[in-house]
Amino acid sequence: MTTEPMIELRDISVHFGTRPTLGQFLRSAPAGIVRAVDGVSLAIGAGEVVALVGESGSGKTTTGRALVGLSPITAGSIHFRGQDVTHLRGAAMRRHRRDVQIIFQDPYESLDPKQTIGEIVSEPLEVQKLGTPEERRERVVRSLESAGLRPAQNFLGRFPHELSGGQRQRVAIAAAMVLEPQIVVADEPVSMLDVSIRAGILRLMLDLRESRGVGYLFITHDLSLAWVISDRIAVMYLGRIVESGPAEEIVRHPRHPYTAALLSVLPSPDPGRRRPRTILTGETPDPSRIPSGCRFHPRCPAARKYGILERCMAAEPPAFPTGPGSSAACWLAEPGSDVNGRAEPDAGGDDHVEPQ
Amino acid sequence: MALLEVRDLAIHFAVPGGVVRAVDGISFDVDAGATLGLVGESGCGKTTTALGICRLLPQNGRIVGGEVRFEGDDLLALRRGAFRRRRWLDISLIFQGAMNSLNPVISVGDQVAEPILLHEPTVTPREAQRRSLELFELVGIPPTRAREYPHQFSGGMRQRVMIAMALANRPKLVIGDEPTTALDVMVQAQILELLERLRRELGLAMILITHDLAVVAETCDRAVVMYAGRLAETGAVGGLHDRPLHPYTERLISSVADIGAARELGPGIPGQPPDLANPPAGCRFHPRCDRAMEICGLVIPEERSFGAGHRVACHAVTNAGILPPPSEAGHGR
Repeated sequence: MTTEPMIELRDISVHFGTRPTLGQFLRSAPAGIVRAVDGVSLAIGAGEVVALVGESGSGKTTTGRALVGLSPITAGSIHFRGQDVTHLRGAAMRRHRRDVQIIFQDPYESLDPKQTIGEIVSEPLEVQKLGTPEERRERVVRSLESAGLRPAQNFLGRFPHELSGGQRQRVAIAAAMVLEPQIVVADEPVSMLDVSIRAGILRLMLDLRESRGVGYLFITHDLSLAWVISDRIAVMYLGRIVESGPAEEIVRHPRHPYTAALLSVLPSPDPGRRRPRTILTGETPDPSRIPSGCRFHPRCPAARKYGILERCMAAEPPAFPTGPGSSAACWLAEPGSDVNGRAEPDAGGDDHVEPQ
Repeated sequence: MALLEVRDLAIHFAVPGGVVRAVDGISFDVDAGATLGLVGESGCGKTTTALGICRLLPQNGRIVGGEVRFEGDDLLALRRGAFRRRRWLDISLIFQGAMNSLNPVISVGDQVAEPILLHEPTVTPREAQRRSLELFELVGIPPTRAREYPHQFSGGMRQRVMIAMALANRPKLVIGDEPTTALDVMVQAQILELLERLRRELGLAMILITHDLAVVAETCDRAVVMYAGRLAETGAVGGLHDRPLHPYTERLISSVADIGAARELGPGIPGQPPDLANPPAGCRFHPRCDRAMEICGLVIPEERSFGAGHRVACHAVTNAGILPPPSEAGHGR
């Protein structure tokens, strides 16, 4: 990881107003506020892969969209190579878009079915008014081939429906890479694909990191996959990053009880490794009704176990440093606290698992 | 005698300009109280197999061969009416998308009571209501919510309603078609734990259909790995993981990220599954297989037995050199 981050989110929030319900309307009561992202700070260096892990409703997708300027942020700032790009407009924003691209989850929906593959991949160049038609064509061919669609001539005139899911996702990658961006947000890029073709897509993305120094924000619900492909992992819960750090550290020594619980329920393909699971009750609450204090406290197994529930209900824990480059937003990680470091050692980092 | 015996089941779909051989001769057993994982990638025929067992195939689908025996009776030989009376009493299904499978304008309590009234004519509506409340309790939904409608439920709670419906007539076998695929990790863990508990308490047999090998490893005793409508390999889940014999099983297992194994991307599998309207000759996996020999493109491999309940359909597996020596039986990759 380089010292200077390529892109940085500083304490950003994305809040949406909801339409008032009939009841609210009749009582002239204010409509709800959805705090989809609620104070997130995150940095990605050149050539670094940061995985943003969370369940649905955690705000991970909104954070990714905010990073590329697709979700207007309501507080905080975004910095690219040290420059504040939060309020870029018009031509400056268009220029910035060359550097920061996004790949969506669903290659069946993200590609326009009426455009040919050649048109899809050259569109970003046209929007950016880059190069002559010949130069564009050359760049499209190069991008398709580096995305593994070889020879590109065989794909240029075809339509998305003629391709398999894996090939479509390669087209989406080619379209994102044709501008040679510095940062790519990949939002669950393989979750719609069959297991056997995921590795090829992921290897392609990691190769582009090697060859071009692209930094990735890799958004996923899959903590095991995050561990395999990323340098660092940030775990989100209900609009906040609850824990972040080096991938190996997060998986082996989780410090936040939510991370520990998520790790404990990961199904393992090895039946010899079935182990005790910490199954949280209920589901992630509605982001328009975020619990007081630590937003995880109503589901937290550790808050009760260590008798600190009152503190957790009263105040939201800041991100306490837990090691080099890692932090956890949990009172259990507070330096000097008598319960420091007690985040369910039996639930998470399974260095020594007894086979059942 | 196994509870369910599927023998050489073949299912074809009529499509414009041809026939899709979605399931092409598959055989397996499910013992009473056991859980079988039916695993494979999209289009491998796992869901079609389940729908065929329940005779719920879409209009253009037809069972063209084989037998499905439940407690010894050939279900495919039963007349439609006779079969319909048994379905749900003996075998029930939990469908994939709970939102699409529930009726939005009927309360969840009434929906759970419906199969009871439908299939058990001697039961009074009041008795059916009482049983539906018991079922709610069983699957972890507060019975007070029985009057609510599907849209008032979260994804996980809806899936619990689906499970309650599937259990309404106290079947001996429940088939779950990707019952946790659309759910979050934690909710998936809740539902899998529920299914596990129900199996123990009610002595249910289960077929779990999924693309997720890890879910199979966590919940099933045995698994059938399907590829392009045929069985590739079947055996106990521990054996399949530690000593996969079929190259497809091996590649599939090594493609799954596992925090207990090496921190690296698996090799994946080149290419993509075949078009079943026009499948390759010989072994359907041979165009993607790194161990393919000449015979693989010519002759469909027969299933061979390799110890208790372990069957493999692969030409390469008979070559002693391909078999990993027992001392290497660690992770099989």
